[in-house]
Amino acid sequence: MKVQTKRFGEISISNQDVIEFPQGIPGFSGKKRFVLLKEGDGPFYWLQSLDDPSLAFVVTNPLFFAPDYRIKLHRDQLKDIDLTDLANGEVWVFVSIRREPFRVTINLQAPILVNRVTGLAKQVLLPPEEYPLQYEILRAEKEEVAS
Amino acid sequence: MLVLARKVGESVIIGDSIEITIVDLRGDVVRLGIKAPVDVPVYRKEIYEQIVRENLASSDVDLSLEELGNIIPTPPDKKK
Repeated sequence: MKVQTKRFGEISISNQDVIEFPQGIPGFSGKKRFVLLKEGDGPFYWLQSLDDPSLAFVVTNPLFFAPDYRIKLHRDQLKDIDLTDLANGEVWVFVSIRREPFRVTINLQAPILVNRVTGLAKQVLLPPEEYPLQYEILRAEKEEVAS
Repeated sequence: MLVLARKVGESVIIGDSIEITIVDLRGDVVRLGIKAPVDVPVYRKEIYEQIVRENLASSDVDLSLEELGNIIPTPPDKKK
């Protein structure tokens, strides 16, 4: 399948690589089909929309930065992505960058759960007291002001 | 906005499959019971808005992942 992307132009992907969010992603409800793209050797991936060439999220594996990260979900929350065998599940988190000061955070409160076998995915919401919305993985040091 | 008066124990139905019941009233807190199909997510609004804000920030990254990976490399013990 050929897909248009803003960052990489036209790319070719196989049907098996398509990740489908039947409920959409909060804030982007019409966009349901995505693909994960690697760029460079770092820990980050693009979650590129197949419906909108200019839409791509930065995602990463939460365990790179929060090794103790564990999520507890009710069976009902796994039903809509047909995830019965947890071994087929994959967890990603959104990465946000803010300027002034330069800060990079990952959203541990609302991870993405992917069923690797069916390609179905959803963003789940964990209880706010369990994990933060903005878990800092980098903060630029404040520049010293000469006195 | 449609406004309906309901007593504790009474419900409203939205469409065919969503039911909202007034479970309890304590001071200025109303507890709602919500029955909805699994494909209809239910969120507290302020939390939903926070998630949308984070998702928006994640879709608005102007660095390449190569640049970002140079600033924040894969932790050495996590490399395959």
